[in-house]
Amino acid sequence: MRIRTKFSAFSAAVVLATVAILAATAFFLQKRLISSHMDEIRRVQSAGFAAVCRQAITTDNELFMINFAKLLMESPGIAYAYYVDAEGRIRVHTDKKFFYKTLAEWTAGRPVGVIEAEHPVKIGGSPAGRAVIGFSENYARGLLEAALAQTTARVAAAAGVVVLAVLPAALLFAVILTAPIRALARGSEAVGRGEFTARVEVESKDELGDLAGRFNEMAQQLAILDEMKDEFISSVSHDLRSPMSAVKMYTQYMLFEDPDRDKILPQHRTFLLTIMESATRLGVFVTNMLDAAKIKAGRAEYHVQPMDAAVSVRNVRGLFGILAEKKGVALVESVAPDLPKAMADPERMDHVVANLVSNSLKFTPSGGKITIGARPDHGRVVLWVEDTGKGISPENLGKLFRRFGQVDVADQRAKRVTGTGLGLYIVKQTVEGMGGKIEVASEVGKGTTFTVTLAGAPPDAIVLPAGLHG
Amino acid sequence: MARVLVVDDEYSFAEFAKLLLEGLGHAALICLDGSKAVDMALIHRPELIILDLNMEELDGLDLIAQLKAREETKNIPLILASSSTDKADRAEALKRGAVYSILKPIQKETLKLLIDRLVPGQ
Repeated sequence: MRIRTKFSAFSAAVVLATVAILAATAFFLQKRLISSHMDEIRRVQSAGFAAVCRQAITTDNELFMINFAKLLMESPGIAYAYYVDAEGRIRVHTDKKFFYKTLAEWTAGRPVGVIEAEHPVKIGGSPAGRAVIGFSENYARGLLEAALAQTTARVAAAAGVVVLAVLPAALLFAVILTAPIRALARGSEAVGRGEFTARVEVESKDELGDLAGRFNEMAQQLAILDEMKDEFISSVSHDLRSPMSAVKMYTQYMLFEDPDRDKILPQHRTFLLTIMESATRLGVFVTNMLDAAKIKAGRAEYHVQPMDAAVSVRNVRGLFGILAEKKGVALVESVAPDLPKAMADPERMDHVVANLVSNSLKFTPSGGKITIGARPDHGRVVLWVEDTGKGISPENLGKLFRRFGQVDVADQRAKRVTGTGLGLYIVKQTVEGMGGKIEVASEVGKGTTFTVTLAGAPPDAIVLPAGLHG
Repeated sequence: MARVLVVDDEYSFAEFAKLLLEGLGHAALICLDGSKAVDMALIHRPELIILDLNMEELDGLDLIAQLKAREETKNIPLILASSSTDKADRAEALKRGAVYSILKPIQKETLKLLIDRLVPGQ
């Protein structure tokens, strides 16, 4: 339940409870007031009747008393009235048949549901009798109930008005109150996604405003730290590149270029191959780190030019040949004979294919096979890397190209598969940066195929020698 | 045989370029201090200069400017060899007079092709 709903419901409940308590109190007080008021009326009426009786007796004019009793009967709610003298004889009664009857005779047939009010009649200081009026209990109750029903209706109407007024007000207040919380939630979500530039705009001077201010400071610190991290990685990678490049080029020279290379002892040759293989792996790693930093900072550059995809295939096969052999995985080339030239950055393309092969090698067990291929496709050039590895489940295929998106980290750690989780992210960014397209097809237990589609170059395009930018 | 001056403050790269050049049958001179490159060029009169972009003592871009400013050296073809992928600097180098820009590590075939093209009749 949302805070604003809770708050509104709570406010409405509090208001309703208050109104209910007030209504109950008002009801009780009203009832008491009306009851005492009615008692007072009965007392006054019986006193009036008593005064008439006294007058009638002193003037010996019973007719006056009889007429007054008749008059009384005309007012609503009066059931009967009578005057009884000191000896207990009824002298006047609204019902004529009780005239001069004893009180006992009357009380025997007296109607029920009547409240009596009586007043003594004194003549010359000594009691002469009592004036009694019987009021209908039903009539009194009816009056009381009518009055209370009116009160109840009024209270209910007031409660309705109050609740109707309070609910939108409470809702509005809650919306205003929770707006900064929602802003903070959105900010947290953005920072969680790695958008450290996200800021929460809360102007209020209260605790929420304070919290938003601290949140923004935190996001700013995170942005600075993130930038420091990127710069650090970038500078470390850059400094690693030159010496590593030297290791690689000298080893390569000794193995394949040096005029005296035939004099290398066979075991030294193996050692040199191992050095080269390690330098290759480190090279891919360092280039990935640099590329990731550049892609993130939007500084990635691609020198798209006519290139021979077959050269990329050959280069990468050369780079990973020894490693594959050591793992017992066959690394084979499959280049179509009529392959046209492609439009891509040759150096970056080598790196893309190297990442794909490095990835396949990681997940292909001994005895498996990795094919690096290139083929024409309706004027375009397709480079593909196919393995007979463990495959990728459909739910993991979607996560594949994300930054640090290595699938199921825990599982991989258990199986001692290592990696930065950057390779495929860089592959996708690079291929798309060069105007190409990458696709993946996989079947668990059977293997995975990555397909890179590049634009074809015009047939008369000249391919520049490696590393040359005119 | 061509005389080539290699200017790079990174010893491993300069030495490797020399290795490749000598392998191709050329004479190579190494200059590890960019600020001494102009003097070396005046003394040895190379037919080609391969220079690095980022150097401690003298920036590659400034070196190109100095070489182009002198009558004796302004016609020597210049090749920029850099490991940096900074497009802007490379474009600037080409604008100031470098003939080609190549990426490190230098490939033997590329080097051969460029020397054949830039130093005719060697």
